[in-house]
Amino acid sequence: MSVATAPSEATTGSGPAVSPRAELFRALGALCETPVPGHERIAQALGLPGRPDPAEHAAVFLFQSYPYASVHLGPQGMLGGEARDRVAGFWRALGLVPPAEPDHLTALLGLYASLIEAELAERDAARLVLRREARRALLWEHLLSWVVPYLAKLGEIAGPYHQAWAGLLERALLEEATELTSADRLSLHLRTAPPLPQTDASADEWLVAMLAPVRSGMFLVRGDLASAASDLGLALRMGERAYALRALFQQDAPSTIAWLSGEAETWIARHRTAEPFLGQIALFWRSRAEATAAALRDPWLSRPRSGDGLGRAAGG
Amino acid sequence: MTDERRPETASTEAPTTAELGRRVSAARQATEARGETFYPGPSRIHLAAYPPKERWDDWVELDSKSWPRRVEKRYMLVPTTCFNCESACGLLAYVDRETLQVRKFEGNPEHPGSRGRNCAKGPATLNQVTDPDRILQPLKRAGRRGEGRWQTVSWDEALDDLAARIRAAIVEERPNEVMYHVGRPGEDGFTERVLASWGVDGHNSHTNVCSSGGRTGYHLWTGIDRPSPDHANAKVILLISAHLEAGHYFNPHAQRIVEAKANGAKVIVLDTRLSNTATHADHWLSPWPGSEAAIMLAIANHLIASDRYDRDFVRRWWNWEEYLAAEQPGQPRTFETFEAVLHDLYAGFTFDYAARESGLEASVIAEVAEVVAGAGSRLSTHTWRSAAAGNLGGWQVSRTLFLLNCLLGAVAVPGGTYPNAWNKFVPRPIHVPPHPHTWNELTWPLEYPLALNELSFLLPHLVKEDRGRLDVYFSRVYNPVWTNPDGFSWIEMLTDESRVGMHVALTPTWNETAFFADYILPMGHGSERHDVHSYEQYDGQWIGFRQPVLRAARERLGGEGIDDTRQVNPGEVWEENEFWMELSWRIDRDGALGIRRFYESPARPGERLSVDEYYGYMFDHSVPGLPEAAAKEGLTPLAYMRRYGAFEIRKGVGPVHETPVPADQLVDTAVDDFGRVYTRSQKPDSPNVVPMASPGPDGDGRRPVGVVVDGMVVQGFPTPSGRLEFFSSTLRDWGWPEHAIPGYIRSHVHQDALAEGEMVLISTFRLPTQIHTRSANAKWLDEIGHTNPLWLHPQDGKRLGIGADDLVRVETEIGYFVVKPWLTQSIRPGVVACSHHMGRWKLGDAGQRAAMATVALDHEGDKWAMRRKRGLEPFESSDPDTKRIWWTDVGVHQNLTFPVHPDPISGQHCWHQAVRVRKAEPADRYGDIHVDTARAHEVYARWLALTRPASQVSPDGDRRPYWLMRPLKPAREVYRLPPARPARPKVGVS
Repeated sequence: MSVATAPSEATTGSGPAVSPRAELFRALGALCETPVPGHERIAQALGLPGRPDPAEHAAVFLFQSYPYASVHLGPQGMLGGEARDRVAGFWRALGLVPPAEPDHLTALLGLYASLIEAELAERDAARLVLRREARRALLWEHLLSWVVPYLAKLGEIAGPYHQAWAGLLERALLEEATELTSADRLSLHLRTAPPLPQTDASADEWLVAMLAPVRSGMFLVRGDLASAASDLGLALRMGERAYALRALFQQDAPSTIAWLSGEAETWIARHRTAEPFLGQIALFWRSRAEATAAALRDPWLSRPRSGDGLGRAAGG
Repeated sequence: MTDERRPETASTEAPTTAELGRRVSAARQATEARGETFYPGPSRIHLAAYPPKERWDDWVELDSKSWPRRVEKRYMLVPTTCFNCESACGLLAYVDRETLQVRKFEGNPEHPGSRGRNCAKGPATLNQVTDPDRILQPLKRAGRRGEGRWQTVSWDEALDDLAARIRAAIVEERPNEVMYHVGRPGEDGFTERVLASWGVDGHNSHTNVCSSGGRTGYHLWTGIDRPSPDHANAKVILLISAHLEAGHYFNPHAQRIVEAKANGAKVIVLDTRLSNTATHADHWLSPWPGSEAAIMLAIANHLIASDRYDRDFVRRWWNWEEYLAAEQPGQPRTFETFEAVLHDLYAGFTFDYAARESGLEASVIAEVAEVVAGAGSRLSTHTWRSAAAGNLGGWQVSRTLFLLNCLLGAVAVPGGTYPNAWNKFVPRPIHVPPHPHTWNELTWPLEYPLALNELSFLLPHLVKEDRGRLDVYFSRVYNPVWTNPDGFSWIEMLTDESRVGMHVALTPTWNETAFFADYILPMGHGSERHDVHSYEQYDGQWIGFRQPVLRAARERLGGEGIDDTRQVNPGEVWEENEFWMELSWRIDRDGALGIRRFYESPARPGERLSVDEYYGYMFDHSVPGLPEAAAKEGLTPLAYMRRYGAFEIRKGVGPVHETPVPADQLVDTAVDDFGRVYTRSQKPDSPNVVPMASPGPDGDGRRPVGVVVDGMVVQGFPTPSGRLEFFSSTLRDWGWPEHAIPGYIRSHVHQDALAEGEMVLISTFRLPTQIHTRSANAKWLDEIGHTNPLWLHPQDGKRLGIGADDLVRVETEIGYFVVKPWLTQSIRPGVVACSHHMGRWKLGDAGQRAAMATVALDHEGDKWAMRRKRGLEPFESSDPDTKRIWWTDVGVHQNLTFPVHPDPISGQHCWHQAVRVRKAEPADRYGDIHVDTARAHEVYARWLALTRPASQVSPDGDRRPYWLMRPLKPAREVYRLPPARPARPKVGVS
C-alpha cells in the first residue's frame, strides 16, 4: 500500500473522486521517494526535465535536505519529537492511522491530495465545511509552515530535475495558499518554537540551535558546511553537521562567524521575498534569521569560555 | 523563493498546474488500465516496498555478494505459496534469469492474506531447496526395515510396486489395509478425493494431536470447526494461545492484531508461559493449566449477571427454545424464562471460584471481564491447540471462549469472530468421486463416536490389539515417530512387517519416521509443487496458488511446455498431485475398477489428466470473478494464477447466517417446533466446496434449508437446529448429557489430580521460527533455534535443588528424559515447559546433519533407551555454510516419553503431562531417554476406559452422528453399527 494513495481510500466513502489538483499533489509527493521505474512515467506526465536518478535523489533527500516536517520545525532540527507527534495527531484527528513516517513530505502531500478528493466527494454542506477546514489546516499548519524555504534550499543544491520538481511543488502550494487563505494565527509549530539560546548557553546548545531551521531561520545543509570549509581554507571534519560546524569554529571562529552572518543575511532576503504570499509565516522566518544575524554580531560569541570546545577554539 | 516559481510569474507557455494534474490523471488511468501500478509503494518503509508487478518478468537488483562492485542481477519473479506452516502466505521466488535458479524468496504483495509479509520460515524455503542432505531420488530399503541401508530405484519401479499392492487390496476387498497419514495438509480435499476414488476409507490426519480439541468446541456451536477472528477491526482481542507470535495463522493474524493495537484495541492473552504473544498483551493471565474454561465461564457469568450481553442476539440465534424443551420441560418456553435460567446456570462461576481454580487473583479476572464486557460486538477471540490440546476436556475451552462471542453478539460482525467456512473458498474440482463404501475402525474406532478427526495417534495400540493391519501405509509430510506421543510404540509397529506390510514415506526431507520406511519418495518443497489454498484470515475469501516456480519461469521465458514437474525439480523430486494421478492411473490402467475415469483427460481420451487441465478447469469454472479478472489482462485464469499466485474472491462476506433463503429453494417446506426449515428442493451446486457439517433431513426426507428468525427464513448455521447450539442435543443423545451446554471439565492435570511432588509439563508450545518436524533442513532456522531447555521457575529450582548448570531428569508415566533447565520467572511456579520442536535424531549417516544428533537406540522387550552418541558438528558439503555450524546442541526429544491421552469425547490427545522433576543422576547424560512401552499401553487402556462407545450409547444405531464433519465421509449406509462382535480380550492394567 502506498502512503500516497491510502488516505484517499480512507477518506472518501463512495470511491475516490477524480481531481487533477489532487493528482498533481500525489504525483509530486510520489517523486519525493527513492526513484523506481514507475517514477519515470510520473515525471514525464509532469514535464520534468531528464529522468529520475537514484544517485541524485539520495544526494538531495538522504544526505542534504531531509523531507520531513519535524527536521525543519523541531527545536533540535532532528527527526521525530514533538513536531512529528503534532503531525501524527493531525492524522488521528482525521480518523486515520498515522503511517510510519507521518511527517514525510510524501505522506503529507498524499494526505493533502486525499483531502481535496474528500472535499470534492462531500455532498453534505456541514461536512463540506469541515473537510475544507481540514485541508486548510494541513496546508497552513504542516506544509506552508516550512516547505517553501525548504524548497528554496533544495532548488539551490539540486540538479535540473529536482529543481523543476521543487519549482512545480512550490507553485502548486502557493496557488493553494491563494485559494485557501490563512487562518489568523500562526502555525502552532512556529508559535511554540523556541528562539536561539541565551548567551550563557553552552556551545553545543548554540550549535544545535544554529542548525535547527525553526530557531535560526536558516536551512544549512551538509553542502553548505563543505562550501564554507573550502571557501575559508579550513578542514572539513566528516560527521554530523553539528560536529562539522564545531570543527570549523575550533579552527577559525571569526571566519566561521562571518560566514554564518552572510548565510543569515541571505536567508533574511529570501524570506522577505515570500512575505507577499506567506504573510506572517514568512515574517516569522525572517525574524528568526534576523535574530541570528544579530546574535552573530554580538562579541560574546568570540569570547574565550571555559568548559566548551567552542570558546577555547575561538580564543586560539 | 525564486521568481520563476511564483504563481503570477509562471511562463504563459507553461502548462497550468491543473493541466499538469490532468496529464498525470490520464497517465495513471492508462497505466492502471494495463493492470500496472502507477504509484509504487514508498520504498523508504521496509517491508512495504515490492517490485511493481509489471516488472516481475525482468527485475534488476544489485548482487549483494559482489559489493562494493555494482553488479546487476536480473530476476524473474514467480509467486508461490509457503508450505512451512498452515497459513499459506504468499512468496515471490526470485529466479535468476541466467541460471534459472531460485536466489531468494520474499513476500508476495498480491496475496490478500499475508499482504507481502512473511515470517522467518518463508524465506527459509531457500534453505530447504538447497539443503545438501535433501533426498533427491526415490529410495528403497536394502536391509531390514530401520537398518538404514538404502538403494535408489526408479519412479516406475516404485509406482508399479505400489499400484499392484493397492490394486490387490482393493480387488481382494481389503480396502482398510490402505492408509494415508498426513501431517501438513496440501490442497483442501485433494487426497481425500484420491482415496475416495479408490473406494478406501484410508484418510488419517495428524489433527488429533493438534487442533481437534479446539475444533470440537467451535463445531458444537456452529457446525463449522474453525474460527475466523476479525482481529484487525476488534476492540478487544482475547487469545487463549500464542497466536500473535507463533500459532496459526501467525503472520496473517499477527499483522492484523498489530493493526488493531495501533487503533487502540486491547489484547488479552491467557498463557501459563510468558510467550512472545503474552509480552505484547495488555493483560497477560498465567493460569494453572486446564483452568481456562473456568475463567471463561466466570467472565460469561459477569456478562450475564450484569446484563451486559446482547439480549436480542441471544434471543434470535441461540437454540434456547430447544434447551428449555429438553432441560426445563415444565417451564414456559419464553425467552424471559431462558434468561432467568441462564442467570442461574453459571452463577456458581464467580470470580472467586475461577481464582481458586486458576491461581489468579479474582480482581484480575474481574478486571479482564470488564474489558471483555466493554468490547461489545467487537470481540475477536481465538484458541487453537494450546489449552484445548493440553487438557482432558480441553474442547470446552474453545466452547466457553466462543460463548463470550455468542453472548456479546460478536459473531460474524466486524471485529468479531466468524465461522471459518464463510471466510474460506475451496473451489470445486473437475471430479468429485463418491463416498467410499467402507469404514476403517483403525482410524474411527467405536469408542470415539464424537471425535471430529481420526484417532491417529492410537494407531500402534489399535494395531497391537489386532483390530486390523495395514498393507500399504503412507506417511506424508508427517513424522509420527517424532511428533506423536509414545514414539517407541510407533517404531515397534513400523518395524513389525506382519502389522505394516509396506511403509511409504512421502517426504521432502529425512525424518525419524522415514528411517523405518520401505520406500522414501521425495516430494517437492513449497516452490516445487502444486496446491490451491484458502484460509480464514479476515472477513473475505481468497485462494492462493502454490506452484513449481521453475516450471512457471520456464514457461514464461520461452513458452516451453512442461508436462511433468520432475522436468524442473531438482534430481527426481516430484510433486504430489502428479504422483497421485499417476499412481491412480496405474492402479486401474484398464478402467475396470472405475478409478481411471477420475484421472482421464477430457481433451485427450485415453490419456492421463494433466495438472494444467486440473487447475485450468478449476480456475475456469469454480472461482467467481477470476475469469473476468484474467480476461482484463488478456490471460487465461490459469495463467493469471501462475503470474500472481493469489486471487481475492470476496471481501466483507458478513453474517451469512442472516442471509434470506431464496424463495425458489422453499418447496413443500416443513418447519419443526424450533423453527428449523426443511425443503424438498434440490440443493444448488456451489462452486465453493468448503467443508462444514451436514445436518440430516427431516423424517420425510426433506433437507434442512434454513431457520425461521423473527418470521424470516434465513440461512442460519449448519447445525441440527440451524442456530448457534448453546445446547447440544448431540452430546445429550450420544451419552454425555452432563456436557450438553458449555461447561468446565477438570483437567487430568488439575491441582487435585496431581500426586504429591508432581508438576505439570507444558510440552506443546511452538517457536515462531520452527516448522514442526521440517526445520532440520533450514540452516537459518536451525541457527536461530536449536535447543529446548526446561522452563523452571526459580522457586521450584530452589525447592528441588536444581541450579542453572545442572541436568534435570523429567519423569513421566512411562519413562523419563534428561534435559537442561532454564530458570526463569516466565513460567508459573509448579509448572514446567519444554518446546516440542527440538531433539531431532538419526541413527546413522542418513539424516539431516545440520540438526540431528546421532543416537544409539537400544531395546529389550518393552524397555527402550536412547543415548546421544554425537551432537552436531561442522561438515563438508555443497553448502559452505555447513562448515560454519557453531552449535552442537539440538535439544531433547521429549515426546517419546509421553503416553497417549485421548480425550473420551473429542479424541484429542491431551498433551499436558503430570511429571516429577529432579536433579539428574550422576550417570545420566543430556538427551537420555528411557521408556517402557508396556506401561504406555496400560496408560492407553486406562484412558480408553473413559469412553462411552457407540455400541453402548448410539441413539439411532449409527456409529457416529452423521451430521458431524469428517475429513473423508463414507457412504451413508456404512454409518450403521456393525453386528455385535465377541468381546475383545481385556488389556491388562497394572
